[in-house]
Amino acid sequence: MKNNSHNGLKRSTLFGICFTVLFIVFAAVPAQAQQTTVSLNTPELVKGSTVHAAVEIDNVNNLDAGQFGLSFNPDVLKVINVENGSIEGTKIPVQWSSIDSDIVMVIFNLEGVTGISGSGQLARIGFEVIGDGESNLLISSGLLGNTEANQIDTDWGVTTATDVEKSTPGFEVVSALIGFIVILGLIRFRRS
Amino acid sequence: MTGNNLLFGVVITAILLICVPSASAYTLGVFGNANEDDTIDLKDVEYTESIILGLDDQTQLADAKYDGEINIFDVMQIEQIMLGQEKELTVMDIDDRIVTVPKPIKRMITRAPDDARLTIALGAGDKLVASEAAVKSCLCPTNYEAYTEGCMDCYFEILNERMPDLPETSTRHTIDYELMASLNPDVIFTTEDGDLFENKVGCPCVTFGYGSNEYNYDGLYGQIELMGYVLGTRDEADDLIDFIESKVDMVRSVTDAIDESDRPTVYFAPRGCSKGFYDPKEGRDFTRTVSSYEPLDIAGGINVARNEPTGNLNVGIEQIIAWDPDYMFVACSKAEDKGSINMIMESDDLKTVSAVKNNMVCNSFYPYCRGHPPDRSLFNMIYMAKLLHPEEFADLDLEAEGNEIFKAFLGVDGVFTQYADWLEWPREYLDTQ
Repeated sequence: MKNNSHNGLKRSTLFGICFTVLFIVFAAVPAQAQQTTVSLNTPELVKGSTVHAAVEIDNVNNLDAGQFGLSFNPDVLKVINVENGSIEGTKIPVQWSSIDSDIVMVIFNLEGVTGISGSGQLARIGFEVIGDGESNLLISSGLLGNTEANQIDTDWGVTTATDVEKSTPGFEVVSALIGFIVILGLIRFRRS
Repeated sequence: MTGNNLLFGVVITAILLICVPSASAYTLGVFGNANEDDTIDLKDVEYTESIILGLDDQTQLADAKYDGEINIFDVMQIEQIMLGQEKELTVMDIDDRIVTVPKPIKRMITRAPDDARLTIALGAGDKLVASEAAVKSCLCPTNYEAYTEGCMDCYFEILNERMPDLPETSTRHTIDYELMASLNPDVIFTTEDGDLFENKVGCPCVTFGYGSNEYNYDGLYGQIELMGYVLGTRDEADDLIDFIESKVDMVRSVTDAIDESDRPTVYFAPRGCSKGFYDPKEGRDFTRTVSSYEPLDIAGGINVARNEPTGNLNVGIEQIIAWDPDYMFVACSKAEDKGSINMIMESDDLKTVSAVKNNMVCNSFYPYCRGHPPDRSLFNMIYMAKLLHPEEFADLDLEAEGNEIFKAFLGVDGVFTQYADWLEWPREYLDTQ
């Protein structure tokens, strides 16, 4: 009787732990999926050519305005233009200026107050490759604001085209982890 | 010069006039007024964007969020201000204090009657939860503390009939900070001691004023504009400024055409003469004057004290005799004081003065009431213009003008009619017209 009661308590505790883990994981996965990220995509740099660095954005909600700077090695690159971006087919109208010849500042401010959600490009920065060496492309002063004039939490982590992309656990990994925990819980439940 | 050259000159001049931006005499003290003109509009958005892009110089007011940085969030704040959707607003008040107020304002207290009057004029009287005791006799002119004579219809009607019971959080000499705090205001409007109010009451306090000791329209417009932003009543502020300007322009359109040599000289006693020639305690005497009272200038008079130092002045009676003004305007705020001008008319000292000799010593409206009531001064301008230039303003209906002016500020009909009856001397004058 006492043993059965003890086993019942263990089952309840295990079940509670499994439920809590599942809840946390499922609650966390959507939040992680909503993380807004901005990254830089640059093709191979060949001296004498013109290249476009795309500033890409993923998982943004209600984007209304933003700014970023892109610094570079002026011995290697020279800014020639900045083209408008596009998110889910909606144009991102940019304004830009070249400051101190080694940084280009880009701002955008969407018309209206509806905002844009989804993924796409914030801008495409055209460079003329004028020399050899490291491009030193680096995003700085990045800010995104939503239609409530609040700052959008943004991962600006990927700053150079040649950097190795930081990996984060994908949905597959998380799903496998969940499955593993559930199975483990069920096995323990049957044994007891 | 040929006809073509003349035409070319006219066209060039016209283009230049169009291209020269209209300069405003005041800067709107709202953070977000990036280009530091008199309003917040798309130009401020563009200017702030130019600052971020490094194309224009930073200005203090471009930091719309007032966080020490100028970035895209300042642009967004400016857009929110333009839409009237900002969650808070940072302003620079008349004492150069930087104050952040929550928006929208729902409850407010005014220390000075002038601020209460403008609050009501801007359609925000419903937010007023308390004020100074003098507000009850200064807005709708009534007898102080008794409230039994004067513009009684106005007194009972204004503020949705709340005036008689409006809590009094201060008097001329005392301030009940605890009562203020208990009324939980979002903001306090006052004319001075903003830091003291903030410390004692625990809410933001914005000071308003004319930017100088003297009543002037640019200072008034600046106050109205700033108050409109704080209260979220920008359209009403623009309407009120337009109304005041329309009256100023109406008078100016006539008086500007009058040659300087045809303008009469005027000695203005804004504190009246009920205390005689000298009143060392309160300065409410005939020899107290001001070097600048813009309504008088607009009305086409020449203030004989215009070259004196700014602010309130006490001059010797000999100086007044030396100025020899064509007119004397003596302010009068009570019916029982209307005969005070007889003291001047009968003074042996002043009998050589032109105004006395020609019987041009006149009562005028009292331009003070714990501040500078703009409705009274606006009417004073029209009244003085009619006295100084009776032929040019022969068709002016003073009573209609007065009622229109007081309604614009207080929202109540017929205030001037009751005011004229109460003071008696305006009614006597109107009856002669």
